[in-house]
Amino acid sequence: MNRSARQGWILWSLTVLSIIFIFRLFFYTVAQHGRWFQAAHVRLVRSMSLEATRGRILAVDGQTVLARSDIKVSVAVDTLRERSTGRDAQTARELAEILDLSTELVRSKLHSRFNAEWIKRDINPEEFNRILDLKGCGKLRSIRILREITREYPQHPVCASIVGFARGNLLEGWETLGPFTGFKGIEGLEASFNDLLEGRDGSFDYLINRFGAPEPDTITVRQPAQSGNDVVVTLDPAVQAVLRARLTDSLLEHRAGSVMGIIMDPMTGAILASDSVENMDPHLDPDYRLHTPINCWPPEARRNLPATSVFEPGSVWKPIMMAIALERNLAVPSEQIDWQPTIVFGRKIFKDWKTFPSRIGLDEVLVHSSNVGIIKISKRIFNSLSSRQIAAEIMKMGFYREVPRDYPVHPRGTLNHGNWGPVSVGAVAEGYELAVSLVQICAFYCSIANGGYRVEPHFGRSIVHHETGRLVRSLDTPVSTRILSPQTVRFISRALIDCIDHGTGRQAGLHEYGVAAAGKTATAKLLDEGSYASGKYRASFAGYFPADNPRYVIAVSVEDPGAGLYYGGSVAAPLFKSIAEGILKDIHGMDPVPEVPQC
Amino acid sequence: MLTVWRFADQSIVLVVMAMLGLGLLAIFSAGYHLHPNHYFYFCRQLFYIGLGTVSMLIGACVNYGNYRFRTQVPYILGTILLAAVFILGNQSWLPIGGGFHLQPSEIAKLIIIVYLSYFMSFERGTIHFMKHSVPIMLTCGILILMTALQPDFGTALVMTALTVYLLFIGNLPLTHMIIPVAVALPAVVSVPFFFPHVMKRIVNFSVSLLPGAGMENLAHHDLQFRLAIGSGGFFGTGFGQGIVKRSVLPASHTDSIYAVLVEEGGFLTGAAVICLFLALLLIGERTARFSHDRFGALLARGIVFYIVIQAFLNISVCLGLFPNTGVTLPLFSYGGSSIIVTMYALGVLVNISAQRIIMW
Repeated sequence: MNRSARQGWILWSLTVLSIIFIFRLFFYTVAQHGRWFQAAHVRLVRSMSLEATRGRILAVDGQTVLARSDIKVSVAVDTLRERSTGRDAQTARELAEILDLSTELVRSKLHSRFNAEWIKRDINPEEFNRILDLKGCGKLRSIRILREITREYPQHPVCASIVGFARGNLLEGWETLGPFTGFKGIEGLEASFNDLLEGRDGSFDYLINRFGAPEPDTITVRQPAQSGNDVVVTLDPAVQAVLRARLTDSLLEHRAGSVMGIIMDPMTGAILASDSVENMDPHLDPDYRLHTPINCWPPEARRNLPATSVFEPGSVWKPIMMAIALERNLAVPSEQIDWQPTIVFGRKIFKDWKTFPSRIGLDEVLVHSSNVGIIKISKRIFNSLSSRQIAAEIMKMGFYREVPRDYPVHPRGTLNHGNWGPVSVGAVAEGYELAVSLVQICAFYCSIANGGYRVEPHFGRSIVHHETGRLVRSLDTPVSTRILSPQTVRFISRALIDCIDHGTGRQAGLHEYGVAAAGKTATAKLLDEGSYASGKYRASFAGYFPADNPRYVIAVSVEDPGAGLYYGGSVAAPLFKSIAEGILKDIHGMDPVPEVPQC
Repeated sequence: MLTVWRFADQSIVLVVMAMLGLGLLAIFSAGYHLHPNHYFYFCRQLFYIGLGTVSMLIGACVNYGNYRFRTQVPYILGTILLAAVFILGNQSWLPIGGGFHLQPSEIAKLIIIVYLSYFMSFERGTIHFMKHSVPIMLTCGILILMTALQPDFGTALVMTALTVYLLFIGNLPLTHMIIPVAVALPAVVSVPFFFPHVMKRIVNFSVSLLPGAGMENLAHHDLQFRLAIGSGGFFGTGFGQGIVKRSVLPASHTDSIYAVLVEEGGFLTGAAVICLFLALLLIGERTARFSHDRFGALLARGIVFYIVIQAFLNISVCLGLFPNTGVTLPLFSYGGSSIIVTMYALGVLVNISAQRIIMW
């Protein structure tokens, strides 16, 4: 073989080799492209969900935050994995240096008896980047940087029972760190507005390096997370604070079982404040409530009784019966009723609570809360209308309906009109044999205050965009259905004003502020195991002020006052007054007008 | 210089420019995330290309006939540099200050080409085994052995192939080659037993060739090469869009630059790179054929062969046709010594091609 033949062989060999290369290249890049492309993505691309930020709950002013989500970046250790590496000393040294902690502290966390442990929460960007750099080099493999979400309630505990709480999920494998992701509303407005507050989770992809750590700057957002909307509610924290303080004072003063109260805007039905306190030490302790999250309170302590409990209302029910009679022309405002000390229905003798003149005006029935008077009116109703018609009238007034609809618990109450018997004529007239919620009573008094229109009690005011603050949707319920004629409203409201001026609700008067108030007292016996217990009462009051241009409707109820006083006029009326005073003083900056000495 | 340019085979320069351009793009993409300064590798490579251009101009302007004299001087210098690596260097690198390193084995390749071209260019009646063949093979063997002991088996393999090639086309009787091969073979075979990483690479490669071998049977580096090349498709993922390169591909700016090119440029780019090396081979062959002396012809063939065989070795590793050797892709991979020496050698090729015309 000569020289050029040898070179020819080499050239041909290299050319053939080139062709083999090209075929091989074609095989991988074209024929098997799908297989390798998929394998590369499976091995190198990691997907992660990006949790949407839960919207805020804002007070009526649209500024005060009742609930918000705080996002922190925190560092945690997988202690089991750390133990298996055997590099705890080095890890502790490196982390302590970056996070400005003592090495001993970090080491103790690495050796925690739990499977996972927080090392430091809410780290700054510099710490984040330095940890990421070390992880990128294959170090700190047991350390994980977590996006931690916490739900904060700045108005806790004042608004706690209304706002409720949202609970996060545990992260699989990191359960001992506690819940910090995937918040869902569990109670209160957090639960009822959960769908609006929740955003839409997004997802992103990132590349991992050969150590399995994320490669910086490789994040590709597949679907951006859409934050939840902010919900503006009707709750006014200042009014709520006044209500809560006065309810607590009343509970302590009267050693009551529980005290509840609700304040509404008569024109819109917006619930401005709603709260209840129960005699359950140590949960009454302000320190306990302040320092303990609401989800750790016992269930009975976190109930908002005005919306969630029903009871026999007692005499605050009398205006409803009076309104039905007047609307059905079964009574005339100017008429006089024959009074008698007792009246019998079936085997039940109904007594009046005091002696009245032999003939009393229809308004006097409400002003002085005459049981016999209202029973006589009730008898006319029962004689003229069937029980079904009476129930329809009661429902028309706003009772036996599930309100407030935007609160997770909204019992409609009990009417039981199918089982009404002869005794019911008297019992229903006095506010027994039926159960209603305080919010329903308050809503009816709103109707009197606003000129006879039914209101829909509600907490939601509007939905606004989380970032831009733009109004997405209004939640206000329009007030349009008239349920009481102007004549009826005029008569009842006059009677309610007189009730405070010289009737049973004198202790609710706001004369020293130059403000006229209207309202009705109630003292109802409490049921105890199926029968009315002796010495156990519920004192209630429902009213509004100013009477000439009502802005606040307040309904309060004190269950089982144990300090001697138990009448609505002496327990609930002063509570109404103290709440109204608090609003006038603390919110409207009004002071009592000094009395002018009379010459 | 202008005369040389006018008469030289300008296609050499065009091919080289195409290779350098593609290589520079690939280094920009691969090196972007490897250093805090994203342009570090790109700028350095640009600087090396600048130095390489100067060396290419020098190589093109110096009459290649001068290399046939005093061949012992560069040989001795090369041997000293290789020896210095054992004392002063780190693996196959020799620090030269300013953060720069020299790879003497790159120079050693050129020395072998010049040395063997010179000795094989003599017209002898008969080649004596003891008088001619043994000294030549011993001389080259020393350089190869020193390179292998650094240890840089990939470059040693290229040098061995180059030596065998030049002896083969230099018309050395095949019988003369059998005896040294028989002597060297046990040494080559025993290498994997003394160097576990070599054994591991050979075993991994053998396993991947077994019928039914899947992705899970591939060694880590082989798998990354395959993922990168397979992900490319026909047109590639796009410039800077390679995920395997960004994520796990080892030495993406040096040994794995071909995988980067294919991942981001697809089959088209990968095939183009192979064609460019094939074109260089054919241009070198044309230059050799029209060279006015045997020394020039051997020199031209040696230069082109050393570039092409190293490139093919690198490509075959990326395509899973050869165990991992650690050799770079000439003119594409990042590295100063390689670029400067290769471009100097190509400058010599330009000079040879220019003289061919002048003689006509």
